[in-house]
Amino acid sequence: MRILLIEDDAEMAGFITDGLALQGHVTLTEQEGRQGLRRAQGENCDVLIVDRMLPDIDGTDLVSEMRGLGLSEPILMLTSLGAIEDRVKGLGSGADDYLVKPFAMAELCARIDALSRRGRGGLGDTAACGTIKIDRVRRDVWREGQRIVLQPREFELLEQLIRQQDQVVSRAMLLEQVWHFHFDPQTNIVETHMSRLRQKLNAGFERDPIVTVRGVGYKLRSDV
Amino acid sequence: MSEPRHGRLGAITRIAGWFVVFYTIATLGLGATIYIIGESALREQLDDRIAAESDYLADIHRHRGIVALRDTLQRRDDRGVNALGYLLTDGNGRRLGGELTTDRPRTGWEQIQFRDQDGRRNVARAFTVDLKDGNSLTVAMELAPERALRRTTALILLAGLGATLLGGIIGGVWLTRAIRSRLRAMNATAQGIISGDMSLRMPVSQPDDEFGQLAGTLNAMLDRNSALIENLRQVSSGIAHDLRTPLAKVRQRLERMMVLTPEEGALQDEVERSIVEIDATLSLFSALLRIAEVEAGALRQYFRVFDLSAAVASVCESYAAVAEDSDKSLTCSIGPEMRVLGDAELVSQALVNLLENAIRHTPPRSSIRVKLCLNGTKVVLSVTDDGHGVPEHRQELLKQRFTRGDRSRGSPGYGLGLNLVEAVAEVHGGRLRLSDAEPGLRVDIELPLAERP
Repeated sequence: MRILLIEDDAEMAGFITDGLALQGHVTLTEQEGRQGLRRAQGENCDVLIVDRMLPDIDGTDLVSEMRGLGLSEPILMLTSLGAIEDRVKGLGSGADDYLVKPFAMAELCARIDALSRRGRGGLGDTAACGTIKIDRVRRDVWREGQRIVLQPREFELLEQLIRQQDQVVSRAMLLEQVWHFHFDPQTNIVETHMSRLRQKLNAGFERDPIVTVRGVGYKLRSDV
Repeated sequence: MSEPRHGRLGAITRIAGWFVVFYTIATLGLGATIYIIGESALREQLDDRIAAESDYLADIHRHRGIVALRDTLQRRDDRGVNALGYLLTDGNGRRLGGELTTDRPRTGWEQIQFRDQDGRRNVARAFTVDLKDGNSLTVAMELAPERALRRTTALILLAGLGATLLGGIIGGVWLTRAIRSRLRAMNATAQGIISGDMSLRMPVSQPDDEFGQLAGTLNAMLDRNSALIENLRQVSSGIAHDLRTPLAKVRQRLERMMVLTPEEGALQDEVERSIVEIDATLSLFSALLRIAEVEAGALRQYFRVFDLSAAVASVCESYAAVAEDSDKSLTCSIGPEMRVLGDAELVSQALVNLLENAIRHTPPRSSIRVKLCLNGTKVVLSVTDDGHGVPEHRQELLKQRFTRGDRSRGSPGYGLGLNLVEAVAEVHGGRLRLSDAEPGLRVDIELPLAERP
């Protein structure tokens, strides 16, 4: 993917650029908001990453301007302001996602992947990933035609994994998408429900389609 | 403002009551003094007039004789121009002149009874003087007009006293109401500030009067306190925020080290452990910043009415599995459609903190119960466990930052959980209460029920 990064901290920009390069992404970097806006209009990028605190303009104002000018690329806002109010303002300005510094590179990559796939059409009434099929209306699940009964949270977890199949989905993303929690619980709530989902999905099957990505999250593979 | 209990007078009413009592006593005193002085002056005037008339008539007797005196008395009685009566008697008490009908008066001043022309008995003030020829002259003046005047004066004074008393009572009631309404407004403001709205200030309707000056002084004090609290918040938040940046950079470098040294297994483990430590420190700062943000109250602008029953049910459903994995049971009893004004995620986070505390700090096979019920206009969300409990003297301490129960010292956490829960309860206009569940601990979050639209 071609990613435009608008970040004034050179060290942070270097860290992000290197991390994204390891994932095969090309990163264009701008240190000032206005220049970044011109670059966004001129270049054809898949995802924009905008820092909240820029030297010449507030990131939320920059995103508002971008949306006002008709830029529709997915925007991820980076910030060291982790307050609830800041997140509300950030997302209210038109950003699609909001990531608080410091973050794990894998978390940033997972969110960028999720953003790049957003807008390619959501799931229909039914969806599938490899041998797993779900009916989103009746909340039914089958694996190789065998019906699996899931609890509501387990179904929502599976639904999110299918929505982002073959991508790493971070623990924080699952907390936001399934539980609507923008805070980090001290207990292993995601792991508990993922473990139960796995047990039910894998009962009677040899291969586990859910891969644990150490220190980051999970990936549902479509080739299993 | 808490009204005085039934059967007990409030301080303002008592003060106003005493004011009316003293005011009445003072008025009574003034009225009595006026009455006494008036009566004395009236009596003096009466006596002066009688004495002057008596001297004049004695002069006539001295210079012109008894006959002239009798004629003078006759003329005066015939004219009837004044209220004076005359009696001239000889040494044996026989009438020689004058028409006053009475028993023979004694020499000097006395009060006598006489009969008027209609035969009615009346009272008069009389002065009797012995003339040189052995006769006696009595000059009397009827007391009825003086008594009528005294009655009128007393009536005027009583009417004045009544008007004064009525005015005092009306004034007292008005004063009581005026003071009470001013105090009620101040009290309501103070209650609002106690509830956590630090932006409230005392109403100042008349800046120049005593209440206005008191409100102004209190507002200045509140401004100063707010500035100090804000300053303290900014310092603690600033420290937490500014320390994040260098820690974030250290974390980045450690992550980069992991990428650059994939073959160094031992180094990778060390770096990974360092990242875990840094993440733990960063999450502590995040928790501190979140508490500061909640306490600041600015989030109220985003509050909406939401279904607390649904939010609690959702959290309970998720945590039943977590409790089960920890060999504990979680049961819920949730009243339907309890709506509160607030932030669903914040209240969920408070409940998550309580559930995580209960799961972490109770022994295996403990039971945890979540209950959401209505208590008047309040919603009570309670989390009760049957674990070891917390001694009563430590329950209030647990709400403070970095305070941990004796049994939780070895487990992860910074002792900020209950502090955040209390901040969430207070920003929603509610409160947090800890109590002994015998056995175990009961934690209640009490929130006001949202008004029906």
